[in-house]
Amino acid sequence: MSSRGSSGRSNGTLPQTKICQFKLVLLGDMAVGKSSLVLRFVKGQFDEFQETTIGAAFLAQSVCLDDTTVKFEIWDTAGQERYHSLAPMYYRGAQAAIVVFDITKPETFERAKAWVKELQRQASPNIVIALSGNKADLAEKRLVEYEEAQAYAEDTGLLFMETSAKTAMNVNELFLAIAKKMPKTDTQNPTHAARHRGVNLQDPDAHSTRACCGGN
Amino acid sequence: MCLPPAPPSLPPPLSPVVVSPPHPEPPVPSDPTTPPSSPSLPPAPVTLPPSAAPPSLSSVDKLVGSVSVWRPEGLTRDKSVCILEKELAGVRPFLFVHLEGSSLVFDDIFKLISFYCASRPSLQAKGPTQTSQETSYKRPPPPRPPGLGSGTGTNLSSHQALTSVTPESERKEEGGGKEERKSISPPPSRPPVPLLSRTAPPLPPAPLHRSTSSSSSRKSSVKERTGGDDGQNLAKINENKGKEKPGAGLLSEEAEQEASRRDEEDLKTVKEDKLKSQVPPPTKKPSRPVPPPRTKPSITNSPVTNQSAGMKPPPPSPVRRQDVSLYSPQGGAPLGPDLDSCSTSSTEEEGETNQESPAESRGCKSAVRRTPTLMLDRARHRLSTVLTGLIYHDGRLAKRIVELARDPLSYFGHLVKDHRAFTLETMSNHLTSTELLQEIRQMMTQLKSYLLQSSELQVILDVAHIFAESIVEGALCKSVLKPLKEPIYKSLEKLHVGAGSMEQLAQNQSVILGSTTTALGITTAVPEAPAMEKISIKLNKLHQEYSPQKKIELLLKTCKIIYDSMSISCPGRAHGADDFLPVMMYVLARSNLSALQLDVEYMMELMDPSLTLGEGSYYLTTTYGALEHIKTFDQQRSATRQLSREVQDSIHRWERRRTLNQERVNQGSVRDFLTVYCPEDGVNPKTLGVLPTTTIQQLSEQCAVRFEQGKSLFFTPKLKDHR
Repeated sequence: MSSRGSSGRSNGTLPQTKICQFKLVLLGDMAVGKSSLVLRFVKGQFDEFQETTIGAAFLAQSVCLDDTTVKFEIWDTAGQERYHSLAPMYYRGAQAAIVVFDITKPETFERAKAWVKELQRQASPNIVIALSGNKADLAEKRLVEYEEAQAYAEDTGLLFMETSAKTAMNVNELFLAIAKKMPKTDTQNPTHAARHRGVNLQDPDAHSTRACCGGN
Repeated sequence: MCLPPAPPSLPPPLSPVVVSPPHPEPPVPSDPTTPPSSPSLPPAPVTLPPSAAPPSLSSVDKLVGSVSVWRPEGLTRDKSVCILEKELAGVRPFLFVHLEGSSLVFDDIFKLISFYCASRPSLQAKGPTQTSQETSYKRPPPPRPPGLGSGTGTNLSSHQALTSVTPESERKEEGGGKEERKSISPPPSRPPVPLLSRTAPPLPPAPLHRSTSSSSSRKSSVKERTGGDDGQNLAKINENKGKEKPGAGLLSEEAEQEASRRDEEDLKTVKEDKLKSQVPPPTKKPSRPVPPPRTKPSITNSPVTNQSAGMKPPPPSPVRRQDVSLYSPQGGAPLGPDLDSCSTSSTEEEGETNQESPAESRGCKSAVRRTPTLMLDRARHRLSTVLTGLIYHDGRLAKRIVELARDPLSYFGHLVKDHRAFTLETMSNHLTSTELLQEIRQMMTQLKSYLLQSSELQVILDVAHIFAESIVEGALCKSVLKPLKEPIYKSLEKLHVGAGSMEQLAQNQSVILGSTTTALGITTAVPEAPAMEKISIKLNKLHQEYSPQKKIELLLKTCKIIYDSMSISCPGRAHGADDFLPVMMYVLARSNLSALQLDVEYMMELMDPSLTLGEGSYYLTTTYGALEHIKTFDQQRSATRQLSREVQDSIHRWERRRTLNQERVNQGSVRDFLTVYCPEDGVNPKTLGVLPTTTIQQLSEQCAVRFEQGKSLFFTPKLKDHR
C-alpha cells in the first residue's frame, strides 16, 4: 500500500534521531496557491525524504532539525465555499495549519482571517497556525500590504511569512519555522512513549511524580 | 468507546500463559518433566537424554528457586509496589534483560520469568552431559556478571546475568524513538555458526536449543502439544520439506544448503546433540556474515528453517548461540522496520509480496547503519538474500495460519470458529454500524494478540519476524472477515436503511448528478467514459473485497485514475484538493453510492489499527466527506447545510478509536486471559477470564469447575497473585 512508505521513512534515519510526525492542514481560498506552495516545499527537498503519493492533495515531507526529524503529512483542503463544511474533518486533530491567501486578492485575505478564527475556535487548542501571503513575486499587483498582514498575525499569534511558490521565496523557511514550533515530544502516541520508557527497578525513588504508595 | 463488555459467552482469544505443565511434548515421551511454557517460548521441545533424568521441578519451584534472578537485589516488596504504582494504569511496562552486548525485551514479567525458568532446568540437566559430549571444546567458566544474586546456587554460574532494567536500556529504547519493541523469543535462537567461530567459544557449556538430527526424533520433536494437531501438521510439513529439494530460484534455500553443509562439517567434530538450551547468547559477534534463513531468532519461523532443523544434523556448538543480540545483524529483530510501521504491507497473498521489497531493502539499510563498521559487503549481500527468502515465506506463513484457523481440531481454529459464531449471533443486536464494526475489529485484534503471543503458533510464526503482525493480520482477514463479509454488509445495510440514510443518499445523488461541472467547482477535465468504466470496475472490486487493507488500496487506485484523467487537459500539472474534490464528487455521483457508503465504513472501522494510514487516511476522509456532503446537500440553496457536529468530528473520533485499538494491541491480551492445561485431563486447554481482582483461589475454583475436577488438583500455593 502506498502509505507503507510513510512509515518506512523513519527507518532511514539514524536511531538516535527523534522522529516526530505531524498532520498539517492547508486552508485558504481557491486558487491562492495552496498546493503549489506545498509542492514547492516537497519537491525542493532532498529526494531521500520524498514520498511518492498518488496526487498533490496529500503530500508527505520531512524536514531535519538538529536532533529531530519532523515529518509532515500535509492535508490539502478544497477552497471552494461549497465545500467549506468538509473542512473540519480535515483540520480536527491536525497539529499544524497553514492558512494561505493571495497578496493580490484582498478577499482571500479576509477569507484567511475567517479560517484562522474558525481554527482558533474549533481546531485543537495548541494547533500551530502559520499565515502565508502567497504570490509575493507579483509585487506590482499587490493589494494586501505586508504590514497589514504582519500586524494581524502578531495580534492573533500566528507565524507569518510572505511566500512565493513560483520563486520558492520563504517556502522552506515557512515549513522550518513551523517545524521548530512543533512540540518535540512524541505526543502522538503516548503508548509508544510509555513502552519505551521502561521501568527502572533499581531506582525507585527517582522521578517521583505521583505519590509514592498512594495508590491510584 | 461504545463497545459493550463482551458477554461471558464470547470466546476470548486466549492468553498463552500456561499454568500447569503443558509444554510441547518432548521427543522422549517417558520424560514427565517439562519446563513451564510461556508465550515467549517457542514450543520447540526440550529434549533430554533418557539416561539423564533431570530433577523434577514444578513451575512454582522454578519460580521460587529463581527469585534472586528475577527480583533485583535489595528491592523489597514495598519498593516494587512503589515503582509500579507510578506506572499509568493500562500501560504495561516492558522488561529488559541485559546480557553482554545485547538486550532482550520481554512483554511482561511472566515471559521473563518463564524464560529464565525454562532455560534453567535444561542447563542443569544438560550441562555435564554436554560437557562430556562436546569434548572438542574448551569451555572456561563464564564470567560472572557483578551484581547478580547467587540464587539457589545450583547452576547459576553457567547462566547469563539477568539484570533488571538499567538506565542504559532505557536510554537505548528512548533513543530509538519510534523503534518498536523487540520482543524476541530468546531460546530458539539459533544464529548461524560461521566456521571460524568454532574455534573460539569462551562460552558456557550451555547446550543448543535445537532439534535432533534423526528423522524419527524430528517427527516427535516438532509435535507441539500433547495430541496437538498443529505439531503433527508441522511434522508433515517438515517431512515434505525434507523431500523437496530447494526450489528453483529460491536463493535462501541455496544459502540454507550451504549453511547446512557447514553444519555437517561441524558435526564431524562434535557429537550429535539432542539437548537444547534456552539460554540467550552471551556474547555478540555482529560481524559474522549471515547465512540465510537463520537470521530470524526462532527456529520456528519458516518451513525452511524447520527443514534445516529437522534434516540437518545440528552442530551443537555453543558458538551458534552467540548472535541473537538485538543489534547484531544476525539478531533478526532489529533488521527490519518496526512492526507497526511496516505492517502496511500486505503479505496475505504471495503475489503481493513484491511490494515489500522496498521496505525490505530499507530494513536492510537500517541494519547496515546500525552496525556500520561490522557489516561486510558479503554479509550485506547475504542479508538481502535472506530477506528475499523471507518474503517468499511470508505468503506461506499466512497460508499456514489460515489453514490452522480453518482446522476445527486445532485450538486456534476452535477459537476462530467460536468468534465467528458469536459475531454472527450478536450482529443484529447492534444499534449503530460503528458499534457493530468495532466489535468485530476488537475480536480480530484480540485474535491477533493471541496469535502473536501464543506459544501454540510460534511453531509456524516467529514473533520477532519483522512482518509477523501484518502476516497475522492478513491471515485473520482471510479466516475471519472473508466468511463474515456478507453478513456484515447485510447488517450494515439494514442499519442504514433503518436510519433513512440510504434514501437520502439516493435522492441527493440525482441532484448532484444533475449539477454542472461549474456548479461542482470543477476546473479540470473530468474522467471520460473509458476512465469512468475503469473507476467503476475498481469500485466494484473494492466492494467485493473482504480485506479492509485491499479495499483501501483499491480506493487509492481509483483516486489515481481520477488524478490521471484530470491531467489529460494539462499534463504535468499537479492537482491539489481544490481540483480533486470536485472531480471526486463528479465521479461519486456516477457511482453506486449505497455500496460505497458501506465500504467506507467497513474500511474505516475494520482496518488494522496498527497501520499508519497516511495517504489512505486522507482519501478515506475525502470519500467519507464527499458522501456526507452529498447526503446533506441542500437543493434549495445548492450548498451543503452545515454538517452536524457529529459528522464534523467523525474523522477525528475515528482516528482516536484507531489509536485506542492500537493501544489495545500493544497491551496484548495476556493480562485478561489465562490458558490452563491439565495433563490429567488430556489435551484440551481451558481458558479463563482473569480480572485484575481475581485471586489465586478464585482461579483455582474456576479451574476446578472448568475441568470438572477436584480442587485439590489445582494448587497454586506460593505463586503470588501477580496483580
